[in-house]
Amino acid sequence: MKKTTLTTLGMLLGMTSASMSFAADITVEILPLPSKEGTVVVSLFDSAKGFPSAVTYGQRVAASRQVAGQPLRIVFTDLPAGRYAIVAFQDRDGNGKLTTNLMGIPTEVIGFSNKAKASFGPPSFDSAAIEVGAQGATVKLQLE
Amino acid sequence: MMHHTSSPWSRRKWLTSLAALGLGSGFSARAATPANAWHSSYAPFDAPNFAGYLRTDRLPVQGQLPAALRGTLYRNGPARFGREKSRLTHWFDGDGMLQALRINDGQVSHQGRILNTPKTAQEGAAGRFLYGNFGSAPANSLTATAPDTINLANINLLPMEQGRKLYALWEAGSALEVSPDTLQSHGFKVWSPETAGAPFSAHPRVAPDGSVWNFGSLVGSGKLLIYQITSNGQLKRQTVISVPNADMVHDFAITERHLVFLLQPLKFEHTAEPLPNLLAGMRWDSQAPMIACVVAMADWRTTMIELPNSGLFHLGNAFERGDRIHLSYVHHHDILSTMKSFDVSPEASQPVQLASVWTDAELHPASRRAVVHPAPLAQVEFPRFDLRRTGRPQQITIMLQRSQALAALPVMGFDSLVVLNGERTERHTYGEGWLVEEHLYVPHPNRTEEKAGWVLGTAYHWPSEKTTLSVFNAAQISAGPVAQVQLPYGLPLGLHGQFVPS
Repeated sequence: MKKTTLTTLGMLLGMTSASMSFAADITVEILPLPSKEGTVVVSLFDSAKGFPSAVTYGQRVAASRQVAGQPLRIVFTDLPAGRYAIVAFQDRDGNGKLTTNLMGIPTEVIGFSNKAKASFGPPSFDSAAIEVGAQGATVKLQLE
Repeated sequence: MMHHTSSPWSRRKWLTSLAALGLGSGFSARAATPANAWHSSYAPFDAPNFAGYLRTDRLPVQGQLPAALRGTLYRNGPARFGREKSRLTHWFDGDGMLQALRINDGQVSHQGRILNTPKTAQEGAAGRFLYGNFGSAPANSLTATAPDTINLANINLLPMEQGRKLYALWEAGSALEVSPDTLQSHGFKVWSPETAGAPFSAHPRVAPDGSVWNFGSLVGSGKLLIYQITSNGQLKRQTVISVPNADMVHDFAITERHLVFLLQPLKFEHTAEPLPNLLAGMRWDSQAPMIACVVAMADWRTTMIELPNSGLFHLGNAFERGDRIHLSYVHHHDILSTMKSFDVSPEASQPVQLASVWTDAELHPASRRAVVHPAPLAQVEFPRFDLRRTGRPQQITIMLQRSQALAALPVMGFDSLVVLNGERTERHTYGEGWLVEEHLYVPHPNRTEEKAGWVLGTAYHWPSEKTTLSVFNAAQISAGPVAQVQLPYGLPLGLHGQFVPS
């Protein structure tokens, strides 16, 4: 809980100092999912702190909302310009978290911004981070 | 590396044009040299005109097959190293191919099939290799997000339920279920939801009651996942234990009450940039001990015992006597250099590196002490024994050995069969031009004594590019094979096999 509070505080401070450059939106496009089960959980990070599991900004969308042939869109609005990393996974079993086997390998599909890949553990914030200007950005994620 | 690719391409064009003229198939008679002996065993399976399947019935038998010897020798190993213009270079990285040599009523047939996996499907569609793996690094390779994405299923086999089930095994991912009759792939086995997609090692050990014990290790995890599976294929227990030196664990042994892991000081170093393959991140600590990790089957209690520095692929059998655990293993002096020398490129330039010694060890878990006795038997690998005696004392151990004559040539591998039978050591040297694959012990179906059984194995003759199956009486190896079956083609030089009696 303390971690979340500190992160939120940091966000508030960041927002105050960058108040002139608000209004950027990040549109996340989830490319076709392998199934329509469960929920797609999308998380946005503005620093390495907590990446990729301790979520500050998160959204959940039913996987069944995906229309055939079209990406599933999730929008994060009114963000200051800066560096962001996005991670999304399909919570097929509805347990609210990324399910892994006993060796920690995800058994649900997951994707990172900047096409960063897990390799002996999740990718770093830096490898998944993208620069977002005042005009916002669209980020495509392939969950695999 | 580019200059290396000109030779196989001109050779393949030559083969393809021969086939087009009706003068022969991709398996026409050729003559390999020591320097390209290994590559020559794989080249036919890279060819675009190879359909992925081979079958020959009623193979000619020389000598006398024992009447009681009935069943199938299944073998697994890497086979395909070339796809269009991309090439894999490390022995462990080729796509898996199963061989079935079926022996019944004095008749022998052969069937071989390249295994279908998610990786072969993805790379087949792309027309090139997409992933680095253990030691290869194809150009523009992708990062695999989960072990099963690059599962090669190319190391060993696990037959279960009297041979009605068959699994092709890799070591970093799931077991691949295959049909024992057609050798077709039927997807990855999920033993439990908690172990889905987790590593299932290539060297399970089957206790005399039919229980299958296995483990999984994942580079960088510091953990071993342990499986106990009943003889009818149900996962009975699973657990995860934390251990040192878990970055490359290839084999283990069981006794009646314990699992024994020998954990070598081979460590994977993470780097900020993704590495082209696993081998590039491995570091050998020549000063650190090997750790014997003894795990009680009853309650997973672990005891760690230090052994002298050693590299390791394979263990022999293990058993308990009093409060001591006896086991044997093939010690490798410099396993990282050995693994780096496993280059199967058309013109392999790596010098052959092998420094191995058969070694007996006695562990005393109560005092955490160990005594190690190197045997006067060097340049050996692929130990096998009578699987009915797994975890109990046994007399016969079968291995392959590299002779001085072969060591003088620029070719890796083994040319001799060596059998320890109590205090006796017997040898059969195949001779010039032969590369010998794992030979295994097959028990006589109606006799319990080890000496009544047979030793079966394949060998590849590089001057003729053909593979031969040999059958020996286990108690008379020096007398040479009692029967041999020559195939009309060569098989890819592979890894491990299992015999399923019929």
